Amino acid sequence: MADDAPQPLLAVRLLARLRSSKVDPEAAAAQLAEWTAPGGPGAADPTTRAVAATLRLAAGDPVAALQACHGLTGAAPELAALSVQAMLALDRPDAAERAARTLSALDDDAALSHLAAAWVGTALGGARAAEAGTILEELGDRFGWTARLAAAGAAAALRRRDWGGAERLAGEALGKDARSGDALANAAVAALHAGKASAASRHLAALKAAAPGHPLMMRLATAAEAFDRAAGGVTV
Amino acid sequence: MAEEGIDLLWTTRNAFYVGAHQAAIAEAADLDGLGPADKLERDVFVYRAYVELGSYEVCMRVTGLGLARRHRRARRWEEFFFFLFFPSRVRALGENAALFASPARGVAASRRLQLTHGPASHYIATFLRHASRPHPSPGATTAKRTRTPDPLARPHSSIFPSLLII
Repeated sequence: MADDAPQPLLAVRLLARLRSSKVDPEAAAAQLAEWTAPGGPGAADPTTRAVAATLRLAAGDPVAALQACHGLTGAAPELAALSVQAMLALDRPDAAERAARTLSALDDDAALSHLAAAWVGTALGGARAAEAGTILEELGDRFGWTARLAAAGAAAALRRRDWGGAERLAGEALGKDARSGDALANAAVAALHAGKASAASRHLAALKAAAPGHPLMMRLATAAEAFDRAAGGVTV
Repeated sequence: MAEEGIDLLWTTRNAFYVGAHQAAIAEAADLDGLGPADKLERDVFVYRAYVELGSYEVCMRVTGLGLARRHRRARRWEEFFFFLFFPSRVRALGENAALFASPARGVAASRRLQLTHGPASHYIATFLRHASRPHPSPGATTAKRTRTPDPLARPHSSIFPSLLII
């Protein structure tokens, strides 16, 4: 049965085993590379490619994520949305906006098209961030207000410097899922900007417990290391 | 995707993408009249939703080796019920088990039996043909990693599908 299962299910099972620490990340990455290699069983399977791209994005390698999406973005909206995320991670909101527009042209009504537009708006900031907040609220009205949407709404509020709104939305997200990494990170940043250092450190401690691999935690670790190096140079 | 212009998975897909994982699972459970490709896509979304909810065991149980174990258990139940209800027929057919063990000859032989002994004997012969194959040892399924499906190694499709629930 193990290897007879359809390829998309094998990919999802690999994801489950990785998340439950039954397989180590290097082995999972090697397996996915084998599947998604040209001529491999998952080369044309959007689910396998999406799992590969998601893991590479989470590992902080947007170039590899973009490669995992390449070639199938026209047929699989999810891969197009993932490539929008990868382009944003590469600081290319202009390319991301083009990709998001292509996604909307495929299906103007799908949640993914609206989500991609909201991500791009959040990255661009200003009036576009306000627009992103509206898009996310509309999505919430249509499909239910979820932790993911509320956390994305908090990010959009942060980009338009609405600290109070961001705190409120991040709080809503935490009310729905207290262990959501993005919600905790946004709550911490919003609390810092609002001048509530104790709340920020509380959220950061919760983030460290719930999602130690979150990008914010990695950036904090890098910054702490750099600070220690600089401080060591001053005292010696 | 839609086969006749109607995308039955639309709501499931959108619920999954906005992060409403419970809603996606509930929506998928209510879907009827899906084609094979849609069924696979529905399963993919349901399992991914379970992964996002942290229920990793569900994925491993249903898509993993657990299924083979379930088939084996169902086969043992069949064996038991057949012996319970048709002891004489099972014993009589058991004497010819070697005949039914060959898949090609077994089908023709069981068809002949069906004509002479009624439809039930065809099922018993089908069962014996599967039962006379060596049962895979528990370690064999994990050690065997071949991509070409081996029809003999595959768990047989149960002639009592409802017993799978047991």
